[in-house]
Amino acid sequence: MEAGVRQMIRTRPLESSQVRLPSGRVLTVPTAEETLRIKGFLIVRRNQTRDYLGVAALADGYGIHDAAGVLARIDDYYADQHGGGRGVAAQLTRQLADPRPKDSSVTRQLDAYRNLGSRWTDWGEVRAVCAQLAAEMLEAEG
Amino acid sequence: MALAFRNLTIAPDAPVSEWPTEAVQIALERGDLGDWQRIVAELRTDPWGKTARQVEEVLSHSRPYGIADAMETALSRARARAEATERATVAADIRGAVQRSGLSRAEFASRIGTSASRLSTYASGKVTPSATLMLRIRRVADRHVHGKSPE
Repeated sequence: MEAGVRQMIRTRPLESSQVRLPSGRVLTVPTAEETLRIKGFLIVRRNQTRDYLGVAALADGYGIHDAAGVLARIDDYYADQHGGGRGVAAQLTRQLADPRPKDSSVTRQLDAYRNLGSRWTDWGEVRAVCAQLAAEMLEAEG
Repeated sequence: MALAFRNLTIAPDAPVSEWPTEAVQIALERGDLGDWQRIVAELRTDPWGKTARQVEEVLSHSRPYGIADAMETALSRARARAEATERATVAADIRGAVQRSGLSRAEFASRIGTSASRLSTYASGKVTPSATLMLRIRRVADRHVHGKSPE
């Protein structure tokens, strides 16, 4: 883990939108982009298999190119307490390019997750999508 | 922390294309996303250029976590993209040659000594013809241009 991202703080409030349910209740939920940023943050902060799964599946749903653009700008939302730089995006790029979750045995037991799409029970597939995301983050506009 | 080249005469804000190999190595090992994006932009401009070769050389002996893999992926994507563009340009040239000649596809195919179906694969970019056949295609198009008789 890079020393610079140990003390990360949120620099902006969570972006949210309101959804009205059929029952009439109104729910406040994070926006799609915010959901992706939260999952990306978890990769850097927690580094567990489920964090990579979440980012891969969300990015696949949003489109890899757009998702990479969102993640490349994650430093606008999170910053290490020593300030400045793009340390969070840099560390996230590294981890997406070569995922090494600390609960590595879980990567061989993905079929134990309930309601996980069959594509994502293959860790190689998760890694491939993460690697594509990392490459697109490098290609994103600076 | 901003990138610094302490032992080099060049500054990080100089164009990446002017960086010596050591600068590329420092940027890969200690840079952040913005520095890597500048390198990748140069790889995309010239996928077999000086910077591309420097990146390959550095990665052959230095494997900074994650970024070594990401750079290799970015480099092969840049090369694949360039090759696809080249194939598409050749196909467009061939379609242009057929059009310029005023001949039908079948006639043009016959004049270059191939079949209409083969010519279709060249025109769609599915198959790239050899350099010598490309010369023949240009020559046939030039001879028939503006309704000139080849005889």
